[in-house]
Amino acid sequence: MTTLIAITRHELRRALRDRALPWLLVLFAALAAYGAWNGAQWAKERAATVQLITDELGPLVEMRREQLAEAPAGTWPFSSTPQLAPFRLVLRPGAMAALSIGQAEAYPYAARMIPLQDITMFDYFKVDVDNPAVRAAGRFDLAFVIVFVLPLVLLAAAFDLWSRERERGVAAMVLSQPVGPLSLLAGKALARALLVLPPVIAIVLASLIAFGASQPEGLAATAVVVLVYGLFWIALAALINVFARRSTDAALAGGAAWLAIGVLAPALALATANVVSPAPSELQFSANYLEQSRAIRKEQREARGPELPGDPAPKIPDRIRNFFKERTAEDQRLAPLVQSQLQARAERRAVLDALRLFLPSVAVQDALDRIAGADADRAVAFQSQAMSFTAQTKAWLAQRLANDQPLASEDYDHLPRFQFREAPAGAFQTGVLVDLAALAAAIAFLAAGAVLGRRSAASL
Amino acid sequence: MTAPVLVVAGNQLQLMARDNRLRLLAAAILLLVAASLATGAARLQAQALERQAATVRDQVLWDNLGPINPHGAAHAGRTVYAPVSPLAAFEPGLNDFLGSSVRLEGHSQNPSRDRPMEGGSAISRFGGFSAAWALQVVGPLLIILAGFSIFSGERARERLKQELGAGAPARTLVFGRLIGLAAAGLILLAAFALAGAAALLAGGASAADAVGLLAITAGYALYLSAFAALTIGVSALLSSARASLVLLLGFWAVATLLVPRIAPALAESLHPTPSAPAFEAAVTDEAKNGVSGHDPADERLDALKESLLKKHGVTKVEDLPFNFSGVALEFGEKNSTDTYNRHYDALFGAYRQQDDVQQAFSLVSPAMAVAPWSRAFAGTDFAAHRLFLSEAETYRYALIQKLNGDVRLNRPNTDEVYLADVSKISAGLTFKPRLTTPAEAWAAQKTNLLILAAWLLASLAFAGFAAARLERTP
Repeated sequence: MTTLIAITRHELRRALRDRALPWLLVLFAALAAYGAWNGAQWAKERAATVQLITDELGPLVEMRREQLAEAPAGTWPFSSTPQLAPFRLVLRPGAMAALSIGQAEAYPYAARMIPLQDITMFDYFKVDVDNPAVRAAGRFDLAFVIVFVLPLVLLAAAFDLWSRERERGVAAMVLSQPVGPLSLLAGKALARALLVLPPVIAIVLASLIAFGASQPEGLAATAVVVLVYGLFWIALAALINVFARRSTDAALAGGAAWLAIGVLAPALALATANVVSPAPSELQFSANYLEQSRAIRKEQREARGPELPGDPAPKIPDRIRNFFKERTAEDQRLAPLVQSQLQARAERRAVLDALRLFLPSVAVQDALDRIAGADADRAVAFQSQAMSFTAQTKAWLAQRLANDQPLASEDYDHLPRFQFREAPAGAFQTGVLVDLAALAAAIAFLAAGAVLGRRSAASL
Repeated sequence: MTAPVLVVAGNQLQLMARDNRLRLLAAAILLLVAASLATGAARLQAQALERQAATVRDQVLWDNLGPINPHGAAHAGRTVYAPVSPLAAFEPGLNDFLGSSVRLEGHSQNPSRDRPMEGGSAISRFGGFSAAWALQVVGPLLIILAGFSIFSGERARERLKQELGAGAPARTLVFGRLIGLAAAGLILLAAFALAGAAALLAGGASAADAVGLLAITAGYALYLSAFAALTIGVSALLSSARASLVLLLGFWAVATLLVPRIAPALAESLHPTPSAPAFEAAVTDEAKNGVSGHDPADERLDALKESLLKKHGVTKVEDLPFNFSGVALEFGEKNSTDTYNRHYDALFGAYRQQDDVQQAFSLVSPAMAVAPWSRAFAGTDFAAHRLFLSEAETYRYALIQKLNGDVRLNRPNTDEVYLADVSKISAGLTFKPRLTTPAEAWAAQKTNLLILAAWLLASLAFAGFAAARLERTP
C-alpha cells in the first residue's frame, strides 16, 4: 500500500506539470456548459409546451360553464353530459432534465382525453414539427458530452501512462526498483484519476447547477455515474499500456477503443437487434385497430334497437348510456389487440435494455437518462398511468350515468385529477444501480485483463 | 516511362498495403459496412412491404365504409405512406426521424407520423451506423491513421533526408505520396460503392438510383481526397509524429463529430421552430380569426352566403339550387388549407434558415457539405420528405373537396340523412408518391459540391505549401 501511495504521489507531481491538461479541462468545461445550457433550453421549451396543453382546459371549461349558465332552468344542455368532461394528462420534464434529453422525444408526453378515450389519445403527441435534420444530428446535451467527450479527455490525459517510459528507455530503470509492473500501473492510473476526475465531476455538477438542475440526489447520482465511467476509461488506458510499447501505438489503440466502445459496438448491436428482434409494426397495429374498431361499431349499429324515451325522461339521455355501453364493449373486445401490442413493445424494449449490460457507454447514457427523467421507462410509466387514469374516469362516468348526474358548473372543480407518480427510488432507482453494476463489472474485466497481461507490462 | 510522382505513389500504396494494422482496420470497416448494408437492406425491404400492405388495407377500409355521410368520411379519413428509397440502405439519412405516414382528414393538414425512432431505449441514441456514416466519419480517420507518419517522425524524417539528398524534389515526394494515400482512400470508397451497388441490385433499383449512387460516390471522393491532402500537408509540416497525430485527430474529432452536432443545435437556437401544440394553436387561431386576427371566418362565410343568395335571387339557403352546407364545407376547407399552407411555408422557411446556418459550418468541416449531398442523392433528406408531404396534401385537398362538392351537389335541401358511396365519389383520385430525381437533388445541392471542391483545392494548396517548406527545411 505504501508503495502504491508513493507511486501515486510521484506520478501526481509529474502529471501536474502536463501543460495540455488544463486546456483539455477548459475545453471540457466549455462543452459541458454548452451541453447543459442546451438541455436546459430544451427542458424550458418542453415545460412551456406542457403548460400550453394544460392551459387548454381553462377556456374549454369556461365555455361549458357559459353554456350551462345560459341553459333554461331545469334543462340540461349537451355540454352537461359527463362523457364530455375534458382532461389533459401531461408528463412534465424531471428536475434534472438539463442533464439529458434522452428518450423524451421518442415517446408521447401528453394526452388529450375524455373518459371514453382509447389508446389513440397519445397519437397527437407522437408528432413533431421541428426540423428532422436537427433531430437526426443528435442532441448536444450534457449526457452527450459525458458519454462521448469525457472518454477523449481521459484518454488524452492517460494514454501514455507507461508507454512513454518504455519509449524513452526509463522503464528499465523503474522496473529495477522493488516494485511490480501492475502496482506501478495501478499507481499511475490512480494518480491520473485523482488529477482529472474530481475537476471533471465538479465541472459537470457546476454546469448542472448553473442551469437550474440542482436536485441534491440527482447531482449525487450524476457524480457517481461520471466517477465510475471515468474509472472505466482510466482502467482501459492502463490496460492498453500493459501491451503498447510506443505512445503512438497507445494513442491509436485508445482512439480505436473509443470508436469501438462509444460508437461502433452500440450501433452494430442496435442494427443487429433491429433485424433479430424488430420493433412491432405500428402501421399494422393502427390498421388492425381501425379495422376491428369499425367492424365492432358496424355490428353495434346494426344491433341497435329503436330508442325508447324514458318516463320520466332522465336528465342524461339514454342514448348516452347506450353509447357508453357500446364503447365499453368495444374497449373490452379491442383489449387483447392493445395488450398484445403493448407486450410486443415491452419485449422489444427489454431486448434493447439488456444490451446496455454489455456496452459501457450505453449503460452510462441509460443511467443519465434515468437521472434526468428522460428514459423510456418513465415515458412508458406515464402512458401506463394515463391509461389507468382513463379507466378511473370511466368508472367515474359509469357512476354518474347510473345516478343520472349531469355535470353542473361546480362539478368542474371536482373532476378526477391526474398526477404522474415518479419512480419511488428517485435518482438511485434500480435501473441506475444496474447500470453502475454493469460498469463495475466492465472495470473488473479490464483489471483481470491487466493481471493476465502482467508479463507484457514487465517486458521492455 | 512512368512519371516519378506515380512511382512514389505506387511505393506509398505498397507500403500501406504491407501495414498489418491498416489492413486489419480497413478489413474490419469493410466488414462492418457490409453488415450494415445487409441489415439496412433487410430493414428497408421490411419497411417497403409493411407500407405496401398498409396501403392496400387502407384502400379496403375506405372502400368498406359503405353508405356514409361524405363529411363523416372526410373525418374518418385515409392514411398514405411514404415511398422507400432503395439507396436508403447505403445512406439512411433522416429516415428514422421522418414520419412514414400521413393521416389525411378534413380540416387538418396533419404532420407525418410513425417515425422509426419512436419507442426506443438508451441505445437508440447510438443508432445511425451506415455505409455513408462510415465514409463520413471512419473513412477520414483511416486516412489520418494511414498518413500521419508519412513525413512526420524520426524515421520518416531520416528517410526523407536521404530521398531529398538523392535528388528527389520535395514536391514530387509530397504529391506522389498524396496520390498514394488518396488512391488508398478511393479504393476503400470503390469497395463501399460496389457493396452499395450490390445492395441496390438486390433491392431492384432504377437507373436514377444508379445515378444517385454515382453522385454520392463522387461527393465522397472529393471529401476523402481533401482529408488525404490535409493529412499529407500536416505530416510534411510537422516533424513530430505525435504532434501530427494529435493535430489531425483533433481536426477529425471537431470536423466529423463535434461540428455536426453543434451546428444543428446552434441553428435551432438562432431560428427556433414551434412545438407541435403551439403550431396547431396558431393555425387554429388564424383559421378562425383570419391572417389579421380581425377577419373572422364566420363573417367571411356570411358574406359568401349573402352573395350567393343575391346571385341566385333567393332569400333562404334552402332555396338555392345546391346544398349550402356543401359550400360552407368547401369554404371551410379552403380557409383551413390556406392557413395551414401559410404556416407550413413559414415553418419550412425556418428549416431552410437552419440549413443555411449548418451549411455555413462547412467552412470548418467538409462533413457539413458532404452529408446533405449524400442524403439528397439517396432520397433520404427533408426535400424528399417534403415532396411526399406536398403530394399527400394535394391528394388530401382534392379528396376532401370532392366529398364536400358531393354534399353541395347531391345532398337534398331537407333534414333527411344523406348517405353516399364515397368509394365511388373518390374513384378518380389516386395517390402515387414519387421519389426526388437526381436532377432535383443536383439543383438543390450544387453549392455543397462546390464547397467540397473548394475544400479539396484548399487542401491541395496547403499540401503544396508544406512541400515548398519541406524543400527549404527538411
